[in-house]
Amino acid sequence: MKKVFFFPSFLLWSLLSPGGSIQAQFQELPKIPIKLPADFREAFPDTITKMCSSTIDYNLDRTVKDVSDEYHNTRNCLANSIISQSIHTINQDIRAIVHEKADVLPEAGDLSQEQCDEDLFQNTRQQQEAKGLQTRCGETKPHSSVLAAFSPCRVAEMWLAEWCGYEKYLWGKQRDDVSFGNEFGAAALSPDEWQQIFTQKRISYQHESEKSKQALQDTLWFYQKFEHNYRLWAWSTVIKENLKDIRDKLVEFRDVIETYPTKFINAAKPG
Amino acid sequence: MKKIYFLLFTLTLFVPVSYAGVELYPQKINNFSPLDFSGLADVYKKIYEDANEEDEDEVLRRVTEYLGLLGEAFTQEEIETFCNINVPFIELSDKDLTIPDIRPQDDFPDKRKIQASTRGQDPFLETATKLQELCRYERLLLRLENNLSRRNTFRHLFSDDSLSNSPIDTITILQEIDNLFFGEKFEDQRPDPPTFLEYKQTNAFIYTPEFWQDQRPEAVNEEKEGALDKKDYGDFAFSIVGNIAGIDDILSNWLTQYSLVDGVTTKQFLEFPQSSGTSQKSSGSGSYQIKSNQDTTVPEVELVAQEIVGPEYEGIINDILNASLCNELTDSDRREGLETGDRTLVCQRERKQRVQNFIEDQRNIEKIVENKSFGVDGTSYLDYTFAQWNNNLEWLRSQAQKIREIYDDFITRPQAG
Repeated sequence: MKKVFFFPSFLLWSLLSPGGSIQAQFQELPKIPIKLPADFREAFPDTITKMCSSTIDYNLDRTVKDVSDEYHNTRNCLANSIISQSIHTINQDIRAIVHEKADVLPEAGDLSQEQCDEDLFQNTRQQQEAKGLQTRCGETKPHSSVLAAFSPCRVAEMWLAEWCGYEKYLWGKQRDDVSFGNEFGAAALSPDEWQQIFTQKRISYQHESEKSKQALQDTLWFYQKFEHNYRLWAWSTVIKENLKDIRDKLVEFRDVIETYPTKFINAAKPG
Repeated sequence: MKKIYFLLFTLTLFVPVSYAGVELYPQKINNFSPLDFSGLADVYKKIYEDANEEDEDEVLRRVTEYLGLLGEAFTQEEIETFCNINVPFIELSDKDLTIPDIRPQDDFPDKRKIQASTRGQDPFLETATKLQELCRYERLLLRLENNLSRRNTFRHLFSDDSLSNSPIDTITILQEIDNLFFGEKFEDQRPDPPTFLEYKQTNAFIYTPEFWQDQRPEAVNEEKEGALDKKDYGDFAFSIVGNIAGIDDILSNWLTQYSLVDGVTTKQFLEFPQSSGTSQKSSGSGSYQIKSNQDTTVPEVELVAQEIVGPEYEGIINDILNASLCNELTDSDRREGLETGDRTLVCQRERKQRVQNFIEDQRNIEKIVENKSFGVDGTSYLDYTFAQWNNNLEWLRSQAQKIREIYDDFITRPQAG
């Protein structure tokens, strides 16, 4: 009986106590820079590729700014492409069944920016698959055995693969003094100054990791809601158009039979 | 153990209650309200810029408020100093090696350093630690609120019954379909959970969908001057359910109350005009023989009527029309007129008699139909009516043209001098 009450109480306490989850935020950072082994540094990009199937080059010698800009710009372009192509695909699926009534469905158009690759989605997927990414999502298109290319599951797979590499890159940057020294010319600093700045930089890299993780989660959440609601909205719109036709035919039929009592005036009589 | 449970239970109440007075931070993602699909562009960029970014003024405000609740006295400068120092978020792109403006090592509220020299030996450091921890806690709490707010915004963005913040809305389109089914009056019931919408039958001749809910007489009334034409109504003025109810009303009421065309009657008044000598009439009895139309399918009820009812009329409308043409009386009519000396009276009496016989025969046929509809086979009245309706409509369509020919012939025929 005691155990019965203990676990729910503990669970309730841990959920309601905000301090419980936030304590996890106080992460301990390495007190001194970790010198990554040279062979590990050299094999770092390939390691990430094998682990994550990422398409971006996560060489530790690349600056954080360059990698970060490439990552975020690519994610942004990919999001635009996914949204517009998802709308187009859903419209096509509906049009295949309903035909002319699907003309009322809007098209998102090209949401991508000028610097985005037009075939970014297809290229990214092909590169990931070439690097070993195998989909575990089984959603198919309606009334078909073809895998749904823009299902939330498959989109999440693609995004998580890219974020995996970016996260590992930031992890490596927090522990690699070689690239930090090369990037910021730390040789001119005193050891204490170097230590302070490196500590602050590592904290900022960790913050960036958390920030990009949160952005990834929220973007996937947004896409999941949008894809589901748009599909429902599109089908409802087409159904509404068809119902309008049915309604108009009913009105027309009723108008006709309403005239029968007066038209056959001598043939009709009250009962 | 009971005391432990009680303590845990008390803590679960204490923690949220202690922050009950803190105003929640408003939704930070309010600027994301795409009115069309182009507004969905760069959604990732907007989310990234908003994620894990807290307003420092809000953090300071909450810290100050909480310290006030605890009765702690700190200057605003102290609060700002320790809260700002606690912000380690240096710009990622900052390649400048400018050393951050921080205090010397002894005063820097480094968590590890303070813990090493803790145990209340240095009040200042203890205070600094307290403020630092508090600032960090409030910042992270605010971050949690913002993240939850953002996720909730996305959860309801496309299903909040509003197109003011999104290009699509599933609730709105479903409401439109509801209107299409049940009419515009359905919207009046939306605030309350709508129970089964009661169908109220009316006696209106021109049935409109709005009547079926509240009988407000604001629908079309063609007898009123200036009444709106049905076709001028908007898209949702006539609902599907309303129209179906109207059709059902007409079929149910008018078929039972107003005998239109059915079975033998259809055949009788739509029959071709026969040549002279085909209609048999016995003086005074008003009985006539049925003239079967061998060119069309005879409904079953007609055969029954022939067997049961007996004498019936043939070609009522044609006979009536012909009877009005007193110049074309039959030989028997002429003989009668010659006997009475008044051909006009013969015409009028003949026509009146025929109409009366026709009415009586109609009533007899109705009884047969009704008796058969509730007959042995158990067919419902509506099904039987629809079956007869199908047969008679086809019959009517083919015979309508023949009636028109009769009228045209009547109009163009020269009057007897």
